Amino acid sequence: MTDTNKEMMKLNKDERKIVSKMFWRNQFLMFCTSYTKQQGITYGWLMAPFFQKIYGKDTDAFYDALSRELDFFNTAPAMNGFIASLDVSMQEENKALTDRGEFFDVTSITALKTALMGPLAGIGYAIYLSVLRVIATGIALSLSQQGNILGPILFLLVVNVPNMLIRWFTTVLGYKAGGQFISEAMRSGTFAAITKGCAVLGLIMTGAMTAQFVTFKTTFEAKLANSTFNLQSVIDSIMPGLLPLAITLILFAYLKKYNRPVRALIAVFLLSIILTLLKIAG
Amino acid sequence: MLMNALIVGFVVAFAKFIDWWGSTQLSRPIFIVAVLGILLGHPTEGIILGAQLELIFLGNISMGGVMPSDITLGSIFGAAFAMILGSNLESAIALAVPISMLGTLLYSLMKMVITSLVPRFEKHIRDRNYKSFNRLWHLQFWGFELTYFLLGFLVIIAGTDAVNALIQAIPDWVQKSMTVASTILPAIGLALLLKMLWQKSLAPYYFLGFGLGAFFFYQKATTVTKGVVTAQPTNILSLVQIAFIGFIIAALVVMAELKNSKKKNEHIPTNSTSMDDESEDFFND
Repeated sequence: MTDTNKEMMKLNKDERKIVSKMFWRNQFLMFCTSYTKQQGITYGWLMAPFFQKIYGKDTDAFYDALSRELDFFNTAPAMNGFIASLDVSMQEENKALTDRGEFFDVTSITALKTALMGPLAGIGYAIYLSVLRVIATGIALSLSQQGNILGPILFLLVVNVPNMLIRWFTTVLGYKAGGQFISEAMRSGTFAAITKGCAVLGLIMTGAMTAQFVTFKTTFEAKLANSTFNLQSVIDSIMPGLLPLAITLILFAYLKKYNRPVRALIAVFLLSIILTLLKIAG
Repeated sequence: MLMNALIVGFVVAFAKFIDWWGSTQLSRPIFIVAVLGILLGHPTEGIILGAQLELIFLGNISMGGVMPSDITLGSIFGAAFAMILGSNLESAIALAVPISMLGTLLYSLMKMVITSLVPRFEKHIRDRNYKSFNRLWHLQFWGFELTYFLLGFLVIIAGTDAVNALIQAIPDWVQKSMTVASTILPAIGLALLLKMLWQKSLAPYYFLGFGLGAFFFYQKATTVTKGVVTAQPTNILSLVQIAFIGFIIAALVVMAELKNSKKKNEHIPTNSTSMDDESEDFFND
């Protein structure tokens, strides 16, 4: 099993060229996202040289392939090496089959792309934003606080050594595995299991970050007869972190329903000014 | 001042580049403010300011094309003014928070411009003109970078005196409410992340993580100081420790899930045949 896996990840000279070109080109995926297509246009842009090589420069097949790739697309950029190189390998298959006069269903490429982008975004963001970055910050922060140059350097390394390895090997895997294998993995549930595991990890870390990064303390105090009533200590005795949790969940419910982060931002801004002026927080 | 403005302009453009190139996370204040400090000639100050701004903005996350607050822009300008004017951390925060919000509005505006270019891209492909398609992509890429460079340059060259006066004039309540805002702001980023990962059946894991982050104190049983054994309660579990626990739980979930799907795949064919057999037996009787 492991031997065949190793065999599968091996690259010959041409393949290495394609994979490394994809590795570098894919770094640009996040540039110039639009509201209507998100990464769609740039996805097309990064695929274009590969299509030129497969279908030939300025051929009809090239433009057909490219115009199929400009649809809405959005995933975690770190995971896109997998999708994009899988796409290239399927385009090569398409070219080879059509040349032999056989039929290849090109809509299967778009279908696989669409099926993969959501779960891979979940995996990518769970790993990058809630694990990798958090661990790196945890390691580097105390050094940086002392003004030690090692802080930023360690941050760079702890994030980016795994980052570049993940990017390289997902690109290799996507290219070598091919559409058949991926469809099989999706059908058998292996893919779903990994996606679920990453979602679990991401959720645990998001919960922990809610507890530790969102600070909201009220300073409200009232003098009663002969004792002072301190609101925060009452809340703390119910449950520490109750207010941050409540605020995060309210914002989550709002964003889930309306998806307007800028309005949520302005609301938070105004809320903090009002609460400070009323001397409830601050 | 010209040199400083050039440096800040460069750092802003570089931060915007590295923010999107390769998901390196290097646009976080802990790194980019340190770079800014080194270039401005205040290396130690820059590293420390970066750490402190990172601490404030730790939970702020931007994801996909959504940027709840542009903490990169806020941190760079806040730190730049603090270092150039020699003012304190509080004024850096008081500047960083509102600038990060204005930065979000600017970003939304730029995204609108980019969205308006989309039909043009599609037209170039329809017209079988890959050269123009490619050129337009590079044009918007450099336009984007140049805008941020000019922003950094102009704000420093034209704004330093004004900002200095502003810092002197900032009333106490504004500074206080900016600090309050900076502590609530992470909730937006986390809510977005939650939205991305949320499934009803997995919701308990979020609350598990919250519990791990909020409630767990542990007794360090034996610390020996000057021959006396003391038991000191340490602070809450760090996120690195929680990630360790999280990995274990996630591994358990993956293994259970794999076992489950294997069983299902094995059982479906055998089950259906045995059902057939049974029904046949039943009818044969």
